[in-house]
Amino acid sequence: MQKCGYNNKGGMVKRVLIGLVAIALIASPLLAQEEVKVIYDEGQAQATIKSLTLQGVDFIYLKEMVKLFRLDLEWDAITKKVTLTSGPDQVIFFVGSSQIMVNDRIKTLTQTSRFSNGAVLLPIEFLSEISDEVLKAKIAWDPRTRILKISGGRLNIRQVRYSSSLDSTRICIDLLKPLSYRVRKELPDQVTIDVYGGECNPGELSREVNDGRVKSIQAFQLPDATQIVVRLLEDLPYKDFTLKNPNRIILDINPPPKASYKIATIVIDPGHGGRDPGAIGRGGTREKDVVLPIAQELKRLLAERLGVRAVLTRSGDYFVPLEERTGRANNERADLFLSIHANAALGGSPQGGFETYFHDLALTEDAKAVARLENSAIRLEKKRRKPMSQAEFILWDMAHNAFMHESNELAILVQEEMDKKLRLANRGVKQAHFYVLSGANMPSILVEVAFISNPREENMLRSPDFQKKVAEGLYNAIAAYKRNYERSMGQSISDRWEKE
Amino acid sequence: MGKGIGDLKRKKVLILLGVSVFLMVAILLVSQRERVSYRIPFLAPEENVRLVRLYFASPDADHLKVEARRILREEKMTDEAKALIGELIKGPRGNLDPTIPPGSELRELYIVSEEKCAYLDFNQALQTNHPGGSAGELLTIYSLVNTLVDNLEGIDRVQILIEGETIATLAGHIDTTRPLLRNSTIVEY
Ligand SMILES: [Zn+2]
Repeated sequence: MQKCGYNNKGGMVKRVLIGLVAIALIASPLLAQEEVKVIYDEGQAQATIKSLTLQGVDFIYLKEMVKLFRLDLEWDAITKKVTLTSGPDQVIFFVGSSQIMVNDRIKTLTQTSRFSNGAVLLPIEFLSEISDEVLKAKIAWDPRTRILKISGGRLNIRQVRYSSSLDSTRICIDLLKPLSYRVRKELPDQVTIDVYGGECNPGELSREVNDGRVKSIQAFQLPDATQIVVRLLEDLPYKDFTLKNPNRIILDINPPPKASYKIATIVIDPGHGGRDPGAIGRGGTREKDVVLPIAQELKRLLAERLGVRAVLTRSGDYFVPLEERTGRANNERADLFLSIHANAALGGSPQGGFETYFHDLALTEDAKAVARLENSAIRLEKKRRKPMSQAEFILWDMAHNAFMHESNELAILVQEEMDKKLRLANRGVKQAHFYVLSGANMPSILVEVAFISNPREENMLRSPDFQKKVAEGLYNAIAAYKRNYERSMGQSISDRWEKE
Repeated sequence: MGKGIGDLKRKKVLILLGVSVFLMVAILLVSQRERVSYRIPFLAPEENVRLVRLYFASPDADHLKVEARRILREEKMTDEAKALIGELIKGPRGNLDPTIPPGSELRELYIVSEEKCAYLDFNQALQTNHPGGSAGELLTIYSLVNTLVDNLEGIDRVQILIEGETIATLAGHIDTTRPLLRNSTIVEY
């Protein structure tokens, strides 16, 4: 099953055929690409859609019709079955068949739907056949003026949708036609939208949200307007705007700054320092001394080659408490946190290699219970310190899972890139509950670059050459992560912000 | 009379022998399954001995592996737990690596049965003599946690203390502020 996909098999043949027909009928009115002007009842609002005249019959494109009336489209490429849904109403037909099924009743059209250049065309009479039951509007078509009048759309506010992301909630009011509106904040925790001339079914639009920012959405039908009241958990900023095709009013609660979708700041944490030497090799090499130059080199590479702001949690040999390290990253609003260490273990066996960890809370107490009770490090609102509500907890859980996923991605890349640079054992990606990672408000990893307790690797760790190679491996991993991340975020953001 | 006692003795010896052989076979089968290959010392009487699973480090410090060992059975769970920690401190007998730093001593051990949690109070050596490293820390912590949870039904989680206090970490990496659950991902059989 393919949504909105058009099977293009034989598209070439069809194109050639249509081309031939077009040449044969040149300057004849039998086939023509034209436009249809759509006018809504009062004649104020209008839109334009493409149409096609084939042997004197007017067709419109299925894709445009779906947009115009905000229908849900399901397309089965194998059987050529099209299912259009609007709330509880449904119309099903097969491309090429003159029969259509409207809410379980069969109707027969005088013209059939057909393919043209891989797109599905519908005869305009199709609209009239489904206008009452599915479109909930009166349709009038004037072939001479090429004007399609849509009137008496009983309900011009079709639905109110919402979607919650990590830091914002988007409320989308779907309109059948453009309507003027006014947004105001009557109370700190209440946003009211008056949609003038709006007609809705209040029961269908009202709903509980409880996503940690929005409590509920309620709709009221007034004589000349629809009023939509959005109740918030607390005083949050909002942003409103309209989008076309299809028409809708968008209300973003706590709109996110666009900058947060780029990897701009990275906090690098050279492990230990000062009175904490970290692990000590048999030759006396101290972990704190070898991880610092790696971190400094990585910072230089990130700034020079990637233009990323890198911040070190320590730039010399001094003690920094673990809490302050992620605290620093949170304050800097860092997009990534990377802690660099050298490994060790008891026993003189052939231990060695590099490994990358990301944080796993589940290994301690029941992570979720703890988070709920203690109001974990990932705080939704800085002011609030009381235990999380169920809704807040859901958001926290979402954030935590997103960070875990991103951290895992980065950890995989680090192991891959280090593998290319170092001739050491690849010990893989692991999960553990690190004290230093537990407070991070961003994807975070801890890399153990080699075993200082292994004399051969201890010697390597001391060499500036090896330190540089490690930094390059880490740099390559971050660069790859940044590329992947920004590409995927860019896509989903433009999806959300432009197409929505 | 003398003959009767002799018969009884012989019977006892036979039963004991039978039980011993059965147990030995069972132990061999179990240890075979764990792929631990070393000779099991013969100890009697059998009913006072139990086979336990001790977790030590794999030679590449990448995993915990099981070493089966027979220890004296204790009546109280607390004593049983102490005996298990004692075995971990003694270290592995086979080809595995130790997980507890030299000089470490268990000062006290108590079990809160409602929480199914064992509190292990070590002396300072567990921390100061620890080699550090995430791998090393994980191996130390989970050899303690997994050994207790696996061998004692009344224990689900373990809290590590140093000189009676909770500690943030042993050597700067793994969070030890809370009771820890068994970790199965670090185990390799
Ligand atoms: Zn370290």
